[in-house]
Amino acid sequence: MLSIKNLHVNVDNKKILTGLNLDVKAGEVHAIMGPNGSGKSTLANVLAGRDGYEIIEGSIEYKGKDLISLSPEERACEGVFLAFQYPVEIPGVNNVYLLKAGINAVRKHKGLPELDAVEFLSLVKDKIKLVEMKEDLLNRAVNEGFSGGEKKRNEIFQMAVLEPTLAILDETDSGLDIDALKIVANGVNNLMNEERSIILVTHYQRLLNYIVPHHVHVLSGGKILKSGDKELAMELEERGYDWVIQESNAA
Amino acid sequence: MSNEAVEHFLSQATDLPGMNDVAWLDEHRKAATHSLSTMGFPTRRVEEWKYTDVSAILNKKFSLSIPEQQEDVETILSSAKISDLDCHQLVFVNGHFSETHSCTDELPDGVNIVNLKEAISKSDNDLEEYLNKHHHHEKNGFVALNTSLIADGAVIWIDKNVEFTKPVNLIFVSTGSNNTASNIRNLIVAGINSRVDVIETYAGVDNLDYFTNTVTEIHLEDGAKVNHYKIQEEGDSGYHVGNLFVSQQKNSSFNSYQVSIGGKLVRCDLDINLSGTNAESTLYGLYMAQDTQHVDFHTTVNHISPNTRSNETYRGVLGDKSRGVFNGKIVVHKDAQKTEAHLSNANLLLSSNAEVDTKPELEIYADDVKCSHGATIGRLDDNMLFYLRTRAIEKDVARSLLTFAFAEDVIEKINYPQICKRLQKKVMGKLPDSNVIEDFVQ
Repeated sequence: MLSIKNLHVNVDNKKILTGLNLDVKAGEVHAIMGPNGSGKSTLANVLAGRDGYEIIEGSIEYKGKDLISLSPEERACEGVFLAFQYPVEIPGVNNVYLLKAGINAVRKHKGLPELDAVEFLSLVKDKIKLVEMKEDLLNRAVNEGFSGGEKKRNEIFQMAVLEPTLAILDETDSGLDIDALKIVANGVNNLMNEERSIILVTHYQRLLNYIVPHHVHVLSGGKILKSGDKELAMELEERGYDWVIQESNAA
Repeated sequence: MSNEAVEHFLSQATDLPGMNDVAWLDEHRKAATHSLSTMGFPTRRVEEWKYTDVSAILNKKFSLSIPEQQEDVETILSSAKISDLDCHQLVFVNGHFSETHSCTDELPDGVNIVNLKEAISKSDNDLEEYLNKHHHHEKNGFVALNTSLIADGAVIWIDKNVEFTKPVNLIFVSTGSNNTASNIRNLIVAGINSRVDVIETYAGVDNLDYFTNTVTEIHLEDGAKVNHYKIQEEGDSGYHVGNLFVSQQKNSSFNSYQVSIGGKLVRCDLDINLSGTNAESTLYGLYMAQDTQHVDFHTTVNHISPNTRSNETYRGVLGDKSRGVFNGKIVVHKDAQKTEAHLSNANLLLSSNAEVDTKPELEIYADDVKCSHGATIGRLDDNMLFYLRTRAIEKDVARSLLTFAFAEDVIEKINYPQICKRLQKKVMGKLPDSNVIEDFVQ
């Protein structure tokens, strides 16, 4: 599904990613962990196509296509979804209409007919239950005045509606209390199937108690230093990241 | 050049209504003519006109027209009307009242809506009391010109204690031949504890060189409440100079909504005088310019008496090579203790060739006041754009959507859904992919 090879990315002429390799197959959950400033969010943003990230070297292949050549909206139509670390407040843009325009853009891209108001509404009502989000948030401006937890739920709700094939969750767990974390995790787990893949970018092992990853990667200094299964996450929680970095330096 | 223009315009001061007959009116005209001859039209050397060059208006030798049948009035009128709005309507074509297109039947007692020409012919005492009461012609050459040539416009009287709830829509359309000038003078008098809503709409055909010089005076007596809307949708070659003078007595409340979308060169001045204690004013404005449009708003709020309040919010959207000017002045006079005044102006530049000059000003001569003012100039937010694009919204659509949302912040303040809807459509129509974002405001 996703194959990242030798990815080098600069931001403001500063090297952030320095030869990152990652393969994600359909149906897999990958956790990317690592210390602050290791390049985790850069990876998430590069995958979603944010401006300002200069790709110096390497390739990203997604469903057989060159992802780098696609605009953010084309990526979204192809099934890439980024749940933002800091969901953006957009005054004046209605949450649910944004979603309707989004899903119909995706459907149009796939050659499917647009959803009418009734179909769309029943889909929304269905999905909103997944994240136990209050319905009155639907008709508000996007994220405006939402609490931190509501913003994160809204991200997962949008994901549920747009049904991506590759979802990148950028520190979705940060700022969530344990109840909200469970709800968000439950929403994510419900969406998982053999055609869908998830990249979880996180600082903490905590989220991985609820969304169990197939693979765990340690990202540091712009590279993946070590990969393993969920046991690696437990070990990181216990021992921190330094030993991985030292191990890597020794090698 | 200015002198030549003054002579050109003043030479048209013949056969005006009530001339050599209504003495008091002749006096106003004479005083205004004197003002115009002395000060001339404003040039860019005058601080107030620093960014707006009116020489194009003066060079074109615009002339007053005679009332005549215009073939396309129906077309332009139907597009200027606000759909589904139940209102009284006065229509003026090239500055002349058009009875056939107007409709003001079944007015309740205590309400009088008439065109100025007719009011002059009836030589109403009230008219004498209020028209040009504060010698507005001294303000600048355009108001002086307007006063010299006083001929027609709308006059609205609301007697004391009359709450007139059906809005009055004054529609001014320009059509016909090139180089036509419309000189419009409106007077609205809201008596003690009365209430009225007035909508001024300006529209004109595209590709027609014309000039609208309009002055509206609004007098609010004690406790009166007036909502005033001005929708400026002049044709793309139209020149528009508008002056609004508002004087408010105690406990009166004035709400102003100015939306400027059309025109080639537009200059609008608002002068609000909070003369009585406890009077309040709320001013909303939206100006939008594209191509090479030039739009200039100058507002002045004078807090003259204690316990007066004003709140002003103006937004500008400037695209292509357009130019915007905003100057918002709050003056708190020395007796106006406990004044509360706020002013904010935000501008959105959609192109690197668009330009805006904004200057909020505070002059405070009292010591116990609460005032704030601020202005911003910005571009579309990259974070918001990226967020929308990751939700499969195309870049141009996302840009239009955010631009619309910025403008909508002012439009949504208008309490007639019919007007909101119309303005939303107009604003959207100026943006790329408007059909896609239409869904968002259902």
